[in-house]
Amino acid sequence: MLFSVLALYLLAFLALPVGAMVLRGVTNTEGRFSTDHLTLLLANPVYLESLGNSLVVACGAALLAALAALPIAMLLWRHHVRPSIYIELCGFLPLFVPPFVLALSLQNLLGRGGALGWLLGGDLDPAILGLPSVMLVEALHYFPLVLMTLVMTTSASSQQACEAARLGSSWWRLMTRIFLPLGMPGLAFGMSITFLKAMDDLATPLSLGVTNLLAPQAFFRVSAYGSQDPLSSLIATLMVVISALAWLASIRLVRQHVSWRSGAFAAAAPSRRQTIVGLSCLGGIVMLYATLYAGVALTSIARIWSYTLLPESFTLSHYLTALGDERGSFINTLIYCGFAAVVDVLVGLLMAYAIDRAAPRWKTGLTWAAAGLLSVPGVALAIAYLQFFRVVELPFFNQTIDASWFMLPMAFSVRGLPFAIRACTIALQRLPKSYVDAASLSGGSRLRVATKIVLPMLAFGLFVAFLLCFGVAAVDLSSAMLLVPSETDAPVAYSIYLNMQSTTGRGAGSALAVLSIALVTLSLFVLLALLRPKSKAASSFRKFVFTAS
Amino acid sequence: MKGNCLRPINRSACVVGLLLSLLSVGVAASESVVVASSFPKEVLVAYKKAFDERYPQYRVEFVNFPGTHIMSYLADHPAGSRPDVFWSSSADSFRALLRHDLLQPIGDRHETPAKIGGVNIDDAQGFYKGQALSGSGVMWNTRYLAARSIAPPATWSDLVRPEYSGHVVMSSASRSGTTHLIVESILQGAGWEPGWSLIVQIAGNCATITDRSFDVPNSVTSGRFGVGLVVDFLALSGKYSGFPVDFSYASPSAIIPASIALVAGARNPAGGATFIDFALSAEGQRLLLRPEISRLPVLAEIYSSRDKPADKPADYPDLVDVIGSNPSVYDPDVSAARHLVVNAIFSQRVSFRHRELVVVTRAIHAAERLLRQRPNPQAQALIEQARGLAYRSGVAESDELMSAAPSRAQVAAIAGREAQWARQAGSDYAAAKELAEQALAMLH
Amino acid sequence: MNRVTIEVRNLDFSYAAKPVLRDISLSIEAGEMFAVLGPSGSGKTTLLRLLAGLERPSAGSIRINRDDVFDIPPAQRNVGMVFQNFSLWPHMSVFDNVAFGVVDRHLGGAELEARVAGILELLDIAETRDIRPDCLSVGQQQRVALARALVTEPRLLLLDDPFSNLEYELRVQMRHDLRLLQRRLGITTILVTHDQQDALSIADRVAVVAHGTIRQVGTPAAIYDFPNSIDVARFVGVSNFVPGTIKYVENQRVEFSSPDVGSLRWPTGRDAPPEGPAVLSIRPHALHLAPIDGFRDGRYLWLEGRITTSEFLGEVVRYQVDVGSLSVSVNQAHFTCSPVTPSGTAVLVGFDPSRARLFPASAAMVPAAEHD
Repeated sequence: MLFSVLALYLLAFLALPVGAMVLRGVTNTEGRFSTDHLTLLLANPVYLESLGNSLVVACGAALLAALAALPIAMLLWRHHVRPSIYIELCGFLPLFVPPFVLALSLQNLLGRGGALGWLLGGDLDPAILGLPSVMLVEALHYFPLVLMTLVMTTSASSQQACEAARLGSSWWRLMTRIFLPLGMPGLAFGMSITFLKAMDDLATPLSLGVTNLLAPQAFFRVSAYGSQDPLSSLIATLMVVISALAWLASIRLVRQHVSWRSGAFAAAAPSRRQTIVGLSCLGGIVMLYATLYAGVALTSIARIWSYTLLPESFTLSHYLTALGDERGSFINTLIYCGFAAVVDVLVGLLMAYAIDRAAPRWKTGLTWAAAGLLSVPGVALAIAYLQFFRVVELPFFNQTIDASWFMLPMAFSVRGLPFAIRACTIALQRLPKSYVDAASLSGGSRLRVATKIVLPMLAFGLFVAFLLCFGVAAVDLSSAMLLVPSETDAPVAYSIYLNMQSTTGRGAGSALAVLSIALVTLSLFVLLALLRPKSKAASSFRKFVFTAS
Repeated sequence: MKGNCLRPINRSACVVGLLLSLLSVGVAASESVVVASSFPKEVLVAYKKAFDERYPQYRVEFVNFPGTHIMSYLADHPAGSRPDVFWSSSADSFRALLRHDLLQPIGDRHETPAKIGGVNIDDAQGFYKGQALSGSGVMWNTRYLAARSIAPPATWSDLVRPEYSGHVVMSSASRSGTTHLIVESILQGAGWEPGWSLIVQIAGNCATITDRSFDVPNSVTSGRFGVGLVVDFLALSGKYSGFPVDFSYASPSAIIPASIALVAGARNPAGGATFIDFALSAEGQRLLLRPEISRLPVLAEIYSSRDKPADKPADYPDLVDVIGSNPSVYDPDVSAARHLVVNAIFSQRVSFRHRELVVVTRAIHAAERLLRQRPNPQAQALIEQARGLAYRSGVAESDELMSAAPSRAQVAAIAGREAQWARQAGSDYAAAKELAEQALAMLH
Repeated sequence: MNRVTIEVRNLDFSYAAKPVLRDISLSIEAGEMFAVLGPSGSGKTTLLRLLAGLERPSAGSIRINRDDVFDIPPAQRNVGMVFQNFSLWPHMSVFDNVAFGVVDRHLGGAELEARVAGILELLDIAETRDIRPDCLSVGQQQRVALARALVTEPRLLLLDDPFSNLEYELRVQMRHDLRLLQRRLGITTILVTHDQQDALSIADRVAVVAHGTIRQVGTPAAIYDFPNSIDVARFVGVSNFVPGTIKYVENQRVEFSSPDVGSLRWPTGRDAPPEGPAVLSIRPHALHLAPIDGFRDGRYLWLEGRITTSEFLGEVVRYQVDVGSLSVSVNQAHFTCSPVTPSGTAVLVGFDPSRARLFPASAAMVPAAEHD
């Protein structure tokens, strides 16, 4: 029964809408297969250029981030500096902060109006540079993710590598033979996430005034010609195909699963020099990002900031506005993302369970399909929903689904599902079958086994899954921009975007952004604080369970 | 055995999820008034606060999107699930809605005038009413221009001068209702081809074409760019909030009422009517004077009332002056008929080709600068030719698409032609660049 | 104390269309300690799970005290089980882990307390009652797991490789304790293990399982001395295997010939295999070493060989002796101060034909000696 609910969910909120969207793109008005729309699409150089630009931006961002991350990761590896878990966690912050905030911050910082841009007087404004600045912003935004996944996958063996080096292997050999192959899964994971997110990003190019990318073009067509426009379906389909290919390529290249938990690292106390190298390296990165986000931070406390190095007068009123007028958007975020995360955890648990129990030949397919969910871009999903649910009425509510906010959490949940499945798989791995068997043999009723054994043992993993999905949903602006039914229903990320648009709302928008970044960081750290004592117990318990069997 | 051990937990969790969803649906189902509007957040927030306080039985919700998109939005929604009120400064949208029977009459119980000077405030048939007036013009950052010793512009044609190159910012006609209005009033005031030439030349001086109207005043107030093409209130709100910006009404410019109307097939018509009454009342009109809104109320008593002098800044524009100094040449019917075509041309020639356009414009400016120093008729001819290619619409005013009523068929026809316009724009700019460079080489 | 017998008839079990167990029939006496011995992957754990009701058989029947338990869910079978990894719930204290099985049984608070305390006392872990399992030593964890299985006073106790996580000394100790406890409680117990020492040392009877079928059932001594197949001989204890051919079987005499040992003749019982390829199996302790020029005792058949290596194991010395192209293991009892014969020494290897066994050769070539 449960599995039919699962199938129904996937069918209704993923397969059917996306399938219908693809069909709409390749059929004519009589419903027969036709390439008319495709011909139309290919005939317009703007769309071709957008396709090329999207590929350039996404590939470029992934490559740039990797190129920047590799030498630093190597340096850290070589000095076997293992960043503290808190810093590692910061590497995952980009997943929870929308990149357009960085774009706007850089505009404030490098634009002619203030700070560095005013000082230099040059044309460093990212909006003037256009396409390259989109690429740069995405690369900068996802660089910490790439770096940290790289560090996490390589650091486990840095000590051994050091010893091996003492035994005569050259460093260069070690790096090419050990560091790169070791780091490959992390690198590929970070790069493919960067690629997919950059491809899907809508708010960043729009903030920078760049229109000739697939996502903005699809967005424009839907908003100008309505959701039934076949060309937008086709552009969205194109995005799905590219993303899926990229994701498959990254899996095929690596053929290794990224472990979300880093390997055990029995660290000897680092030497003074190593500590200095590590600290200066990481400190430098932290400083860089503090500077990059200074644009937003300054705007959030500036009253008047116009064509001067620093704001001429300061105020905290933007924070009051953000906390007062925008309280609604925080509540909206809580509702949507909470709703989506609950759905995610339930569906993810079921999927993880199904994958775990599936016959081996199905297992690989299911795992891939689950990971492939990552490759449905938010814009494409939103367009599919707008088309598919246009005529569906909500029961008891006398309203079509697309006029309600119902689609938004569902889209969020589909987008968060791959993360949920992964997290739930890990949670389930912590509950080997025999633990449940032992309980049912002891004569406990099903309900008691569920509440006393299964739930407490899964609780922590499910909590992590919930937070992960919540975070991913909270920054999913690409689907939110198309699916938010009204301003009052906007989640925080969208409110930031809207606020940033107006002269007097800029401060409040920046304040909102600063608040939400602070909130995300705080909740990640709280999560970690919760995780730490447990993980100690958990790892010893895991070690025991898994080495024993 | 399969699935046994997990079943109960998920079942109970499902129940919890269901309850949660019902709960939140319950919250959303309270009596709300949905207002579709393209206005910035400040306006909406101010009206929401005041209205919700005044009428506690209702709750206003705003659907925010560019006025240009109301048609496609309503077409996507069946009657009964549409927003209640449409409130926008895009006159074209109101006419389009009227044509498609998407409005219902409001009645005539309001004190606002139907006509001020030569400008019609209300719809003759009583379907929509003017709520505020706005005209468009140029805004500039005084510090920015002073630092570069550039004189502030007075009107549109000033903006084509080479010294403004890279300092101007405007939005896209297809994405911003107010920009569409600016474009259309220039086209109607100056004529189709001269109008396009002016618009494309200004766009060639633009540093960037922003996605939404608000980005223009935003980047001018912050000093990122010097000059912007805006509708008055976007500039005035910055000015009266203390930013070093100023604004001048430009000519030709249409003085257009921002109107408000009740949507046919609204979910809550009574609530919608209440909101409209509020927006047109003295209380609602006074809200327009707030510095962060800075619009021109249509109710004359607001200007004359001295009971709350602090409401209005000393140099606040006066309704009669503004209307008097800008004789309206604006014909909404013409505008409505070619709405989609104008947007499509703007997108294909300006928005999507902006980088090329800027390069061409720079090349032409460079050549002209040299030409002034060393006159050369041959080079001048080349430059003229380049200008002719770069600064044109590529579509004849008599084109059949222009007079067709907006319909599915027209949308399809435009999509077909768009590709052609895009290619033409690309080749025009390439050719113009070539010509300008030839001229430049000749002058060296 | 209730006397519980188990009757398993023609049990089949398949997983994903692959047969895991085939035609298993067993009958276990009341109060018996019964071991199922088999290499990993032989299906022995599956057999345990079938008995517990955690899996359903594809065919066949299981009777506990002559009642068919096919439709009885695990919770109602009244079976206690100790899992290989102990599966102690990490979020509960020892007391709660043990009490879990009896909370449902409508015992009063004091009664429950007494029952759990009693079982913890019995297993000598009373002092750990408020500790979480992951803070316990492995030995303590095992006792907790045992306590959890026994607290419900099960009719049948199932142990899944309970000693595999323990170190040698602890293992010997636990084996001993478990045997005593089982005797005292008189509870019918089935123990599954891959370790022959575990099985042979404490079980009343042993069933050897390989590839999903039962190969032999018997007392530990019977299985050790009289394995009924090559597989059993190979799995239980250490044996030397000499491939060759039976030339003839006649009048209770057999002639066995092999390129390595030549042609040998000896009197045999009625169980000799028919003529054809065969394997001679003999345990290292059934072989004797003598100096190459020593007296050839007529009770033994003598082969010439040369010592290659020797292992000193304490009570015995194990020599590897090359006989022809074969390497055979020979155990010689060690007595105080007697020297180890050096490698390279030529020796006579003698064997008592009555302690050798002949099996029909399987298709595969059999290695000379197999350890464990």
